[in-house]
Amino acid sequence: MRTNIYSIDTENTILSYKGEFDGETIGDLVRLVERKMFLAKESVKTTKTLVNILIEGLQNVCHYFQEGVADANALKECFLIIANNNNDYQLFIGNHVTKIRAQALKKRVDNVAQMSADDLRSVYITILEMPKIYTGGGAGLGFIDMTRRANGNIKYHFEQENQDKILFILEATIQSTPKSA
Amino acid sequence: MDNIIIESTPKTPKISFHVANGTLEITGRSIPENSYQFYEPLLEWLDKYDAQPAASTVLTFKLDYFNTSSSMYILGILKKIEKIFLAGKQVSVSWFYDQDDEDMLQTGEDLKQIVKVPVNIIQLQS
Repeated sequence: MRTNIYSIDTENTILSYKGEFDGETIGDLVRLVERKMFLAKESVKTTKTLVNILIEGLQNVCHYFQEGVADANALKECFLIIANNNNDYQLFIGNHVTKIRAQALKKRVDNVAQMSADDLRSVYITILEMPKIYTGGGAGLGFIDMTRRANGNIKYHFEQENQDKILFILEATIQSTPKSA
Repeated sequence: MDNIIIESTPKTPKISFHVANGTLEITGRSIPENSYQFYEPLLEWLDKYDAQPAASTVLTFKLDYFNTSSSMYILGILKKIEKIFLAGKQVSVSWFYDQDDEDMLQTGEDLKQIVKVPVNIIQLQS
């Protein structure tokens, strides 16, 4: 399934960033998004869901590059786009990965995608309890956490760029919920 | 053994661990890139505290945001407190969540399921 990133109306884009992600940049982006959500008078629930997935998604990418997982030839340039579409927020985080890394990543996220809400909770608790010995063939805690928070409205795309390089895109849709009374 | 008082930063929570009266509070957001660096000294402190805990230990979480690497250490802290509880000491754990923050409520429920120490899940009014 093709990502919706190509159908975003520029007018609906509330934030876009292209460049490397490091701790400082992530901090700045989180602050900016929180400020934008506050100014848009969004509910606490919508803001928290969006910001939580944003933090986890960006830190996932950051760890990938920091921990030497990335191939030396992989481009470290990543992107983030947040758009407001019919009152829902669409979040896209993209980074380049090697073909080998993409294969492993796909196995993980496909595994998460077929889990029910109960399965996600069960696996989340199992990994929390036994992070070192969990070998359930699942994704890491980050992907499970994001999928739970997005209520399942999360997709992962792998777009072939060339023979060795894949563009990995996380796409999450966060439904805007009204403020509680 | 000294108290631990650490002021909050944009990525790490405020920590107030008082050895004499057994009040341990974690407040704010916990989204450090390196959770090990932040939380390991707290776990070491709790190991020492476990050897001679206060008559009553009151652990309070009032978190705003946390990342998944922090969640493992939050569970680690709860496990240390659980040990004190299982040794027969008086322990109280409170997990506060914003009334609009269902995810924080869910995490409290998840953690409550894992540990044997009772966890009071309390709603904060916005």
